[in-house]
Amino acid sequence: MITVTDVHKEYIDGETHVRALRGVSLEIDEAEFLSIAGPSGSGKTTLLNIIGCIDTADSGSVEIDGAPVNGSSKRSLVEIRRAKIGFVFQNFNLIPVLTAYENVAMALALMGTPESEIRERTMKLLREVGLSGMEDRRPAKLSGGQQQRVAVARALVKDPIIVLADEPTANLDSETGESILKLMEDINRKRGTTFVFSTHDQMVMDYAYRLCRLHDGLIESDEVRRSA
Amino acid sequence: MKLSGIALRNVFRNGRRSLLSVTAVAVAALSITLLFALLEGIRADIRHNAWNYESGEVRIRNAEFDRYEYLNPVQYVVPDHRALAERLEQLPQVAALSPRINIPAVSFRGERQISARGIGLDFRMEQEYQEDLDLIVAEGRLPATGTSEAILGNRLARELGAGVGDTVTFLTQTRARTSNAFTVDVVGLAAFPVAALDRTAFLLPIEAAGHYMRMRDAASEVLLKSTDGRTEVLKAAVSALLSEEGPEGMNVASWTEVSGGYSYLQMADVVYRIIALFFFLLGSTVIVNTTMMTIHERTREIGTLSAMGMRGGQLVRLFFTEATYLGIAGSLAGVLAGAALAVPLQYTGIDFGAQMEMVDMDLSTVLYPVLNWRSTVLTFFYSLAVAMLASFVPARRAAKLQPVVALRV
Repeated sequence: MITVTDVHKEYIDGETHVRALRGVSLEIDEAEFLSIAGPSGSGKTTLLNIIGCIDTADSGSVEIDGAPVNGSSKRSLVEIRRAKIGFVFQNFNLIPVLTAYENVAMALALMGTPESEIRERTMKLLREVGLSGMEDRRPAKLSGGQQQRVAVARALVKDPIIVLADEPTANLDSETGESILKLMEDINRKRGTTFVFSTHDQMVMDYAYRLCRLHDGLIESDEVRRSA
Repeated sequence: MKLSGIALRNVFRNGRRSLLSVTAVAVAALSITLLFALLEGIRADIRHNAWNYESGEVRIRNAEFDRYEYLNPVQYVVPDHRALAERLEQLPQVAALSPRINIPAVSFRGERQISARGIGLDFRMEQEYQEDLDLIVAEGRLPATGTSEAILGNRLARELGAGVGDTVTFLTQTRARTSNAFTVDVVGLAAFPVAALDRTAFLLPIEAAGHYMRMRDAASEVLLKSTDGRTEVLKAAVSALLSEEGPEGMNVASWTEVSGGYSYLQMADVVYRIIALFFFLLGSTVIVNTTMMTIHERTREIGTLSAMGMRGGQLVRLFFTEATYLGIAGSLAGVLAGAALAVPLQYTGIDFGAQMEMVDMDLSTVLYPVLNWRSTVLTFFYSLAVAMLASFVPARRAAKLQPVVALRV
């Protein structure tokens, strides 16, 4: 479904050249529950950003659903993100002036989905993530865990082929973090949605069915931990 | 949730900053509204004074007088003004006319020589020509026809040490360019709107003026007003009448050609528009600042929206709409506040008093701003457009932010 082949990425930070990825190759299949782990600076977020089409590789190739994304125009990348990729961020990144409902509905509105369908799908997903009755609350009136649930719902509502979650538990206590992981695991099982995490949290690694370790921009290990 | 709805909520996100932006636009719009109302008031005032005391809307003079005006050649006259007035009154374009005899005069107080300008008027016709003529009477009354009465400008009377009931003797030069002295009975004091007139002018019946100047049936000039404000049409009709029926050698001029005030207006119009532009630019800098700060604060949000698939154009529209709301609120508040200030001033006026004393122009000492709805509506749209344009560049920059860079903030 997603094929990453020999991807290189280098950043220039002031006068320092940082080689974030040094030839990473990875295949991600449908319905995977994959964790990309590694210490800070190992390149995991960079890899996630390149898979998510919010960053581009210097060399190598990325294919999503069999279509290469290298060299795609900015507009095409926006269309891929809009239709095929869901994001869950470490800081939740909800829009503070929108309610929980509106935050989720916005992902569909951007795709031009009809209003009646937006309502039905959004309400269904908010129920699924356990936020019934909280639709009208703005992020400031929700706990961290609830905000991350909204973020998960927002990522899933458009039925993406993949959800990329960058350190999804980093700002949550362990109990809430685990409940979010369970939620995503349930959705992965029920809906068959592919989840890819970047993390250095052991709990996330433990939850992953497949664990990919990155070190200094290279894949150190890639192992299937348990089967679905 | 539509972009316009999100933008509206964003406006209230940082209420104080939005208020600051709205205030900046409002102050600019208020200032421009007042400035334009004042300009409109000056325009009306200059026109009123020029039409009544200087050039009329259209003026008939002897062409030779116009040619040698700097020599004050009183011998060049408009002959038989009564017959001419009768023919002019037949023209459908003529609303009112006023034959006048101008008297260059001096009077003496001790060793001091005081210059004055007598204006001989047909008070019956003048009541039609200047509907508000009675308003100039500060004390006493207007002179009666067929008498040697006069009404003096307030300042002139003070200079002469004369009051109602006194007599004043003036020395002048007649049409035959001989000297003549005449004495008038002061029956009133006039508060002319123009300081220069207040200082020098006195009004007297045209028959008396004609007698003192030995004008026989002639007048110095005939001033006319049109029925419908179409000055050029009136001028053409009067010119046609004179070229067909005479008298010959007359010069017909519209006030736009000969009034110094009109030239000032043309210049003031440009100057005020430049001032307005600066006000708008000043207001717009606050909008630019607000938009830039907003974008800086919401960089991660921009990254998130971009990652979700919001297009650059939609992002521009989001910030543009926010600035539009601020612009609408500021422009509306400013224009309404400006109108609220200008409307009472329309009745009370602004007394420039002493500042106007030395101004050598037909500008009243008390100016009445006039709220022109057309320019007020234009001010609203101008300030709105400036506010919107000011946000465009920073909004475009926000849209060009790479999501990966924006999310890293």
